[in-house]
Amino acid sequence: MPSRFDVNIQIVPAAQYTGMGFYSFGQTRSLGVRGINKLVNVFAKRLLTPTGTNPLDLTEGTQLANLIGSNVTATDAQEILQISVFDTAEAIRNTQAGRGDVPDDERLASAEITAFLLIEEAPGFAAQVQIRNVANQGLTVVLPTLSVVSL
Amino acid sequence: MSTQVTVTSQDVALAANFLEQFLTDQVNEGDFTAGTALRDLAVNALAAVVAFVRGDATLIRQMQSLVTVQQAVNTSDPDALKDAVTAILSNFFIAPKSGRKARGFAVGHSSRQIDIFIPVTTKFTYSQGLVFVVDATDTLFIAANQLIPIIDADSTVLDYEFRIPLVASQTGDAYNVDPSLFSNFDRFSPYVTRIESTAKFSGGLGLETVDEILARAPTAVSVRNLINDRSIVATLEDNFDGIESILTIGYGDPEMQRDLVPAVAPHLKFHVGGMTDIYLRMGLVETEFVGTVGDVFARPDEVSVMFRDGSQNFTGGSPVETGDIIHVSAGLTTVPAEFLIVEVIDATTLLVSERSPFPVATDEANPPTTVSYTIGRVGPTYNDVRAGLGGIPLATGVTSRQIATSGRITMPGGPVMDIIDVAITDPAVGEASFKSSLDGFVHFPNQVNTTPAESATPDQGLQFEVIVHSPPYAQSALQWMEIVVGTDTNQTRFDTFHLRVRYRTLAAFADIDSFVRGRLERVTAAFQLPRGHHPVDVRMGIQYSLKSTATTTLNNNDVAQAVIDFINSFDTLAAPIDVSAITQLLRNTFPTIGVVEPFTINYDLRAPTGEVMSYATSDVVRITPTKQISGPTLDLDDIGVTDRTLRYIANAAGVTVEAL
Repeated sequence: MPSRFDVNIQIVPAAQYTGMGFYSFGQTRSLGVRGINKLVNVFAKRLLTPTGTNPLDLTEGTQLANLIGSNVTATDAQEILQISVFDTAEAIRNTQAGRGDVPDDERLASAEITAFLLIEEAPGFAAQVQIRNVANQGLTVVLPTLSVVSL
Repeated sequence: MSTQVTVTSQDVALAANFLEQFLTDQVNEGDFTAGTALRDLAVNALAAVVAFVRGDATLIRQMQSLVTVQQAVNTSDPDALKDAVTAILSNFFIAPKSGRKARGFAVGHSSRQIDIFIPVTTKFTYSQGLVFVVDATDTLFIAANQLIPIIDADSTVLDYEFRIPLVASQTGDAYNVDPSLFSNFDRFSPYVTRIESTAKFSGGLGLETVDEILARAPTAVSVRNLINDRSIVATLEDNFDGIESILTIGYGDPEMQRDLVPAVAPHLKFHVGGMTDIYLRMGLVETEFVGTVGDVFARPDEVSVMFRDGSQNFTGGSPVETGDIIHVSAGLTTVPAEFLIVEVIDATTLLVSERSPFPVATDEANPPTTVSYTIGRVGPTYNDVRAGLGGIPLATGVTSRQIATSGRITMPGGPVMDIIDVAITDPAVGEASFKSSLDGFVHFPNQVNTTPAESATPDQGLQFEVIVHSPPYAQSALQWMEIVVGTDTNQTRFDTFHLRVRYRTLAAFADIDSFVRGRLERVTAAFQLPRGHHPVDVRMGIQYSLKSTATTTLNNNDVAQAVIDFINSFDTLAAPIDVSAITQLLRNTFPTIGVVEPFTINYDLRAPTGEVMSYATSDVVRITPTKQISGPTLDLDDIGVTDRTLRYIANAAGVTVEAL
């Protein structure tokens, strides 16, 4: 069965950030996406959803988005990022477990933080998360500079 | 009405699954599974709304059915449930009844014997929140001579009593108040010192409950006219409040006697149909009628059988005799017509057979008219007994339903469920020994089944007899009931004096009777007749002992009232009244009662003939010959009396209670 399309979530060019919003459903029009890009979309959406903000599933999301504008240290922020990435990967695997309709290129194999860059002057950090699917394809989720100081 | 749609997380999940399936079917290439952005946008964003709409639809479905409406409405809110039930039944033109106002008589006490005027705005407060007003359309006038002096043992007048018909200011059974002193009243006379009630008010009914509405729902889907049991029940209950039950007796029912046509052959009767008796069970209200003994009364059954001619002497010359024929040649709608004379009342008055009465009462026409007639025995001219010169008709005959009988009064039509008191209110001086020391009236405490005895002494009490001339029409508006007080040897003893009869009848009966027999609603091919049941007056004396643990004594009036209410509301179709049921009632209602002594229940059937048939039992109350102790032996089946058409009633005078 061919894989189905999801709505693409694109990272917004840095010059077009609105506040701290750096993901969008598209700059000009909605785009369909499938395969590894769809998996990355699902991962990024869950990773960046603050826990408790989905009224239909209060457990969805992570604490990562709460870092923005918070007053944690950069070191603590790294730990939170690691936990969030781990939790997100676990949640996606659980969701996909037992579902035969998920094609290999959309089924999560692993998610690892491949880069964590402290930005002392912000203070804040930037990071990259490598997503791999069961088809052994990989794609990187880029988290641009996240300030951890109250704005 | 307040209803609530509850949406659970499970409902939302189900709605989400529905949307996912629906959208997947519609947009085959879209992925609406968990975790996708499409699901967030197109499923999760709408799932709660869809769940609410589905819940609302379920609620609406539930509220459209009497079976499930209780699930739909918060049942802790009776108003909401009632609104919901009413909304459903309104589709079948059923609306909750607004209730009925209680009625009764209060007794006023005045320090002077003067005329009393009571405006209709006068308020009588029984207790806080229970207000009554005068049951009259205009200012109530009570003449001074109607104020009864109350005299003590020293023949000193204490005060004067008068009776005031009252009606509750609001509907509700809370107004069925027990006898007591009224707490307050608007001063309508400076001489009136207090107001009290001596008998329980009755007829008050609250707003119809959900259970009551549902109980009559089965008859909702029926035609709205008076053609069968269902439609009669539906029509009358829709139009009138306070109907407790309706029994329809029609063709083929053993109680139906009005459709019998006798004399087709000797001892042979045919049921010809076309008659319907509608027995109404409703609240009882006390009323009274005052008539002049021996005066002219109109027969309530509207049958015109009296023939008068003041210019003739029917008993002189060649006297008119029973069996002669009145030949009417002009003055009636159908002429010529012949009428059989069954009695020569006096020199100017004849009575014709009820089987062929006059079609109209010419003395009630406006202006009164006359008929042209001859009387004879030889047809076809029938002018051999009375006629003008040359056998021409006499033009001065009058047909009438008015009748005057010495020693009697005719009661107005309508049910008479029990007679509370019969009294001459303006007795002759010669009746002094029979006068009551309490009110100065001459009372008739004893009902008998024969002409009252002249020999009755003051200690024995005077007698009265009740005669119902048309048993098949007993307890209806067409009942012709006479109260006889003239005695066996002195029929005119009380003629020209006012006889007051206090009795209980059915509340609002006249309105229902007018409705059923009125031209608009009547079934044109049938004769339908609303009636009261045949009353059985239940009496008993109860003695009881309290338990040794009882700390307070009981009010015997309360105990008696509990028994009275029990009997008056008893449905004898399901089971008969018995002594043990009353004993159990007392123990349940008054837990401090220990022992109830064995007692006998006496009960009197007021037969359709007016006669009283007395019974006694120490077990089950039944109208059977084995329990009869006095009165005539009547074939009750032949006069339409069965368990279905009986109603057992009790009042405070008949139920006495004593603590040992």
